[in-house]
Amino acid sequence: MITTTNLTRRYGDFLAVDDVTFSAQPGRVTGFLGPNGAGKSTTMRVLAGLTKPTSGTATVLGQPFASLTNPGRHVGVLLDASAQHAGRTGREILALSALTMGLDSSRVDRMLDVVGLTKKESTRRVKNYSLGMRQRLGIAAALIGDPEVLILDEPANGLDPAGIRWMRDLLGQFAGEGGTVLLSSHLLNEIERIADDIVVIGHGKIVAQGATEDLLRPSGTFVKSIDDEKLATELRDADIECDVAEGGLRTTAEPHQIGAIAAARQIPLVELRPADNRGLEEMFLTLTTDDARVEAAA
Amino acid sequence: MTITEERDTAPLLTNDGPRHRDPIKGVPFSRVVHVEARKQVDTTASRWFLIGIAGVVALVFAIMLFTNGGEGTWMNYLDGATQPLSLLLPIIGIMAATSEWSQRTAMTTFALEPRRGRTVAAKVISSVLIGAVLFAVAVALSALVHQLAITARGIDGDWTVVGWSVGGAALVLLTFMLQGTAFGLALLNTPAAIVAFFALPTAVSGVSFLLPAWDTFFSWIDINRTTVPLLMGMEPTVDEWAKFGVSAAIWIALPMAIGVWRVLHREVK
Repeated sequence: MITTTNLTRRYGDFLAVDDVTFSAQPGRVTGFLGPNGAGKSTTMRVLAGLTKPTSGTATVLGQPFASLTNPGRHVGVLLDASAQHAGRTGREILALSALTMGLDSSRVDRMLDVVGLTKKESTRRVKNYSLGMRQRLGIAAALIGDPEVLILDEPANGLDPAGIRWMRDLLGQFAGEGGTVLLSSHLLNEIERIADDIVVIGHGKIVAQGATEDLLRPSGTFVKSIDDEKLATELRDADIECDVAEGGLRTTAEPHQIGAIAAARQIPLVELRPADNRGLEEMFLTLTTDDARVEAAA
Repeated sequence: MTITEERDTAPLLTNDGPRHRDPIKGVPFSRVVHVEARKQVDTTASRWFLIGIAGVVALVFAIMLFTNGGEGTWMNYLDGATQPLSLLLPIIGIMAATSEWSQRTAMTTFALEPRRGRTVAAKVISSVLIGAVLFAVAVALSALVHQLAITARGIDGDWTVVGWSVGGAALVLLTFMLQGTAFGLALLNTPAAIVAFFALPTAVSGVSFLLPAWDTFFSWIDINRTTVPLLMGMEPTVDEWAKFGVSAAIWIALPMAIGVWRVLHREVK
């Protein structure tokens, strides 16, 4: 269980995290979605006790991170897979974590197996690792203490499609065993494939949150007829909003209502189906293009 | 080199982890010290650095053996080994403090031990321990090489142990090791800390030559000068101890205080 309450982090004039309140529940994978610079990493650093909040609270398993006894045994943290000493071997990095937490060294081999790094790869220095290998090593380090909670910042970065599927299965299984997972991404399609719940953040503020299926559930109807102009007029007379879109009309009503009106007015339909849910994607796109504009202007 | 081949993608997580078997106990301080000491010697850079130190010491011993007929007491040989050690070992202390930030391992370190003060204390202690181990090695090696000089070069051995030679050298080594760690903590940047560690005390010594009128003042703050009596093989006077204490406060306690404050308050990114 992860909870933030009115979490705010300010850097000078810049509000990196602005009054963020959300929770990630046990047994579910919570996706933290937002464009680059939206405040995801800052929020996660506050959760891991690495950044002090300006105001508000962040707790993991009901406590501030710093109060956890042997935190690696409770919370697996991967905030930046490249933040490792380039001159250390992958195996040594895991061995150091195992030593700190007081774990049997057999856990190192176990975790190498879990993340699919071979013995030979594990004895190479991290500077020779690809980003994908670093992510796998970072996942291994996060899992080695057998924690209840995982906090992962952009863990799918650098993974190939098979790697992303592997990560989805792994995190799904972790959550299936009752674990809490919070993972961030700036890619909607990555998040919607992995997460059970989604929290969307933009400019430091939460702009949407809920179960993935609710956020992505189709709403409204797409309709195309012989005479869209006439149909649009009839729909508006029936107090149904509609817009011209993709060579047809998009409305907020259900398909059966549209069908009934078209039948009553004898307007032959060409197509009638639930509309694709563009809501989340469009909101996300707006957030991203806002940032792109700021970057271009800078 | 990158690896792109498809991997075994079967997840292997099962309920056999330690959480399901062992109660979760806190991390004892001794373990933090153990981890920090290991981190000081397990990287490519530190391995080569230790090999380099061994090379320099070997070179000093070789020169002592093959010049002047190998003449010298055990204490002379020990002195030959501790001088390069006191020059080079502090870099291990510097890197222990700085690499957490330059290599960004602080993210892992402080996620596993959020009480940062413990980690800092462990780094100081592990630096001292590594210095102590290498000093003990130097004592043993110098005895070995002295015996070699007696056997191979036919010198008259002198095995007299001068308490203040050993103690003074150990204390100087400890001083510079702590100074290095303190500089590393205060600057949190490897090149800056190494340059400052070597250049600042040298600059102070240089300025003191240019300002003879200020000689008394510099005799209290120039750590290159205040450590000399410790290497003379006899007990320093009260005045010399006082000067050593003041200079150590300036060059160790002050940067250490700044460094501890910085590490405790710095945002880990």
